[in-house]
Amino acid sequence: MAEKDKIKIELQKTKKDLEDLEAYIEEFSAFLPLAVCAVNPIGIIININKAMEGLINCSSLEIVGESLSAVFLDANKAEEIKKEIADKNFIYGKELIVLTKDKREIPVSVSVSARKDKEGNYIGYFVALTVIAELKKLQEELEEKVEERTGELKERVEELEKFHDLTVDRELKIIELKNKIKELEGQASKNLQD
Amino acid sequence: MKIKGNVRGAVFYTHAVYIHYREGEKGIKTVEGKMGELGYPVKFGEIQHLGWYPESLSALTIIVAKEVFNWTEKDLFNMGNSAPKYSFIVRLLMKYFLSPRRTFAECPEYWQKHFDFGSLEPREFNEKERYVILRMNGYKFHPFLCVYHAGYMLRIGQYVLSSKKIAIKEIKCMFGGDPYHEYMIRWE
Repeated sequence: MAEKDKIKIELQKTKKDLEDLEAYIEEFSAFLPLAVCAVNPIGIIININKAMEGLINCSSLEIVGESLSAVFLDANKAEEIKKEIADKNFIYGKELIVLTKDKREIPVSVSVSARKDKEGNYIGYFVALTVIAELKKLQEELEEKVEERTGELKERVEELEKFHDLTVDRELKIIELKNKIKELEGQASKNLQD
Repeated sequence: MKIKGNVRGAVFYTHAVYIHYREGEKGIKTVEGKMGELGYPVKFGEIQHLGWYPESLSALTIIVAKEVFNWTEKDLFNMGNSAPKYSFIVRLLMKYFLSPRRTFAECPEYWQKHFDFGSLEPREFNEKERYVILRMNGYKFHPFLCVYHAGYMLRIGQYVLSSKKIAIKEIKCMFGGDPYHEYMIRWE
């Protein structure tokens, strides 16, 4: 087989592999329940997955090409991420608020990973958003319960203290009375002897 | 088709996504049906991203969509402007979009990844005056495509320029008698 034909066949195979890989990434990304997007070095969203579309209630066509700051309630926080990730390789668990297209506010935990090419040039970053609305709600509920229980315990302690004070007072009075009785008994027996 | 030259299938995919976004599944069927009627059948679902297909077919798809949906030139501009958002090839080329200057310098490579004819030349990059000029050689299909490409090139500018105010203008056009097309992108 001529060298040219071999190269042609090899090229076709590579193209096929690349398309298969693209299809695999698309499928995987569509399945992934975690909201993920790719952002370029100047903070422009270049790709998002289905979960991200669902989270921000916006189609890929509407949000790709926009600044990442458009996704968050506080645009400055997105700017901070852009500056921070250029120096670091990873940011984990930053809490931010997503502002959806229909103006809903959703608390999320943001993880960011820097992207570099083979030569080590910084080419942007991946952003993953985990919804922590439920977690936040649970945390608040738990905090409320702890506060409630602490209040109840305080009341119980106060009651116990009152009870303690009462019983101690009573004990002291009994001892006092007993002493008085003894004193009176002693006095009475002395009077009888006299 | 008489006009020679091929384009990657990824470009057809971007046409399909935009038509679907604007007109739904019915829109896709309408364009496919019309293309079939004209004797140039296209099945968007069967197109391979990295395969080569006649550019004349891609150009005809855009013209047909404009005609059957009564799209304006602004719609065509938006179609071009949206295309890089979901192009498989653009995603692969994102590594070149590191800075406006680098992107500008990579134009010829960018073109070659999409077309097997013509060329895109970086003519002028003026950072002080804030403009770039790109020259498109050997591409003459239909004036509608000039509008589409203006939208497309603007998006590439929007990907790498941090300015919010970016504009594009076709300053030379083969349909106006010039030997090539030239686009000027300006930003504030």
